[in-house]
Amino acid sequence: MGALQGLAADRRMTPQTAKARSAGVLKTVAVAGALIVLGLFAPMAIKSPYYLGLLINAILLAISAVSIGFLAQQSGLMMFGAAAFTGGATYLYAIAITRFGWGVMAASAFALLASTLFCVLIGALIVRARPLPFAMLTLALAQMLRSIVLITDFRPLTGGDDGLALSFEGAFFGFSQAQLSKPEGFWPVAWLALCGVLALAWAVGRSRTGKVLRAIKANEERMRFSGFDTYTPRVLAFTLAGFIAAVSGLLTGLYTAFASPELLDFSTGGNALVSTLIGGVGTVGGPALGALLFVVGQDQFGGAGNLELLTGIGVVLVIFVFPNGVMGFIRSGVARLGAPVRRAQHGDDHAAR
Amino acid sequence: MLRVEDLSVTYGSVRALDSVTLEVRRRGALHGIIGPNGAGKSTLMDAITGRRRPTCGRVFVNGRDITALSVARRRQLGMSRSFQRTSIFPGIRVGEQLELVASHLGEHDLVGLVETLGLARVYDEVADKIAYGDQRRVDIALALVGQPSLMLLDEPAAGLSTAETITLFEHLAAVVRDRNVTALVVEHDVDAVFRFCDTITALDLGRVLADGAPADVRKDPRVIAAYLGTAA
Repeated sequence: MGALQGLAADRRMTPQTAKARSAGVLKTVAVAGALIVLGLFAPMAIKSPYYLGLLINAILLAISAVSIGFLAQQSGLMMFGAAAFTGGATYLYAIAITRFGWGVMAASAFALLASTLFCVLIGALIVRARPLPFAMLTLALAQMLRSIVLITDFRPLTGGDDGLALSFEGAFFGFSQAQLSKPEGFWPVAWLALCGVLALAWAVGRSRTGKVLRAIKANEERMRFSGFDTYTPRVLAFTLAGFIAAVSGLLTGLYTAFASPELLDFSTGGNALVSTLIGGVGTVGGPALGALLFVVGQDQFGGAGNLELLTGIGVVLVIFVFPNGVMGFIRSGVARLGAPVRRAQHGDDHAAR
Repeated sequence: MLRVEDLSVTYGSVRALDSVTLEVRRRGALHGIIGPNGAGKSTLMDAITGRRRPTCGRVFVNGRDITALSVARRRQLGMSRSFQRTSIFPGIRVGEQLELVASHLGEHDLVGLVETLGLARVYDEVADKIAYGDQRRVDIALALVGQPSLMLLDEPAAGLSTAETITLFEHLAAVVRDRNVTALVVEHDVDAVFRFCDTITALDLGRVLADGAPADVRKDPRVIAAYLGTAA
């Protein structure tokens, strides 16, 4: 009955309770803000451009993985073809710069906007599919875009096999192309973008839309019989996931100043997918952690030779040992450590009553 | 309240419902649907609630033809249901799922509903981790949220013991009376149906055998021959 009294009490929230809750939210925002600011100074701690570049690659992959993880966590749908949206955004950005002659800001806005609209259209068509057909449809989409890019007739637009090398005048939020092409210059852009998409995915997950999405994932029929539209929220989730993937694609274009057909290849989306599995889909940060581990692992395995063999063995081992992902393992460990403390507090509460 | 006109449903060459016509007029009443396996009880529920499209016929609620409306729209208009197999939200806390649906449908007395159905002690539990009987009650609570005017319950006591069934029907009768909701109940426990329902429809092979007060249906020779047998 205590829980129900709690429910009733919640509905009669006093100004003091509201103030306490606001203070809690403020505290969380302050801690997150401090971490974001601290992260901006990473280049001062990591002097080596090589390792900073490695971290930037991890961030680009992490944003794609966050996109896949977000959709899996909220809708239970796994995106095999995230490359369609990352590579697609890179191409849109490159085409806007090289073919339309637009400035970097306009090209960036165009890439994100057009990618998002594309996601709405594709999402409207495929979110009703069951998980496996959905996954295969996204994969087919990426492969289709790759084929389109390689069509000879489209070469003047896409550059065909050669891809599109680009250079821009002006500045992207004050950063010139020369600055963005260096790891230390690009770092603030990549770091803030990662923090931004993590915050976005976290906020949506905690919002009413997030709750509706998880309930649809748990039992779609019951949601319809509870008077909910189950289609629009899924299109929204897909669009948001596609948008996040497009952010990764845009950043790739800004950093490398190059759009190549490989960006639309399965392996590009596959790396993000594997990162998601390594990190785990239960949390917003899990896929990002997975991407970091994946990139660091690839770097180490590449140095040892047999990159693909060792990567394969490593991935299988990690998924076998951590079925809920590395972040899932960490969370359960933290929960186990915190259990005695919570039990003690619970006991104190009872004693106080 | 509810009027079903010439409702038919066919599965291939099988006619699961054959021109069923029934009317439930009273609000705040329990209406039982009984019949042997394959009588078309669940199909009738599915056709009324929009889960299955009828081959022909019409469904009216409060005089409005709802035959072509979506499931979600019917729910918004006050028609709800529970399922033969418990249909809750696994992995989500009981309170969280009830509050989500309550906020969507504008339920003002969730606390009262939870208390009436005896769900207070499992309010903070994850729905698929609680006892089966409690899960059935969560299913019914989800159907009751939002003050529906008509509720269809497909074998709400399936899998429950006799004592649990009686408790569940007592809860149901109280809720139906307190919230002035009309409930159609498909149930195999004939004793519970005859004890708690105000009116009863008996089906067999997709057709209405008898319809009316429990005492009249119990005495109907066609119902006795097709379903109740000598045990009645």
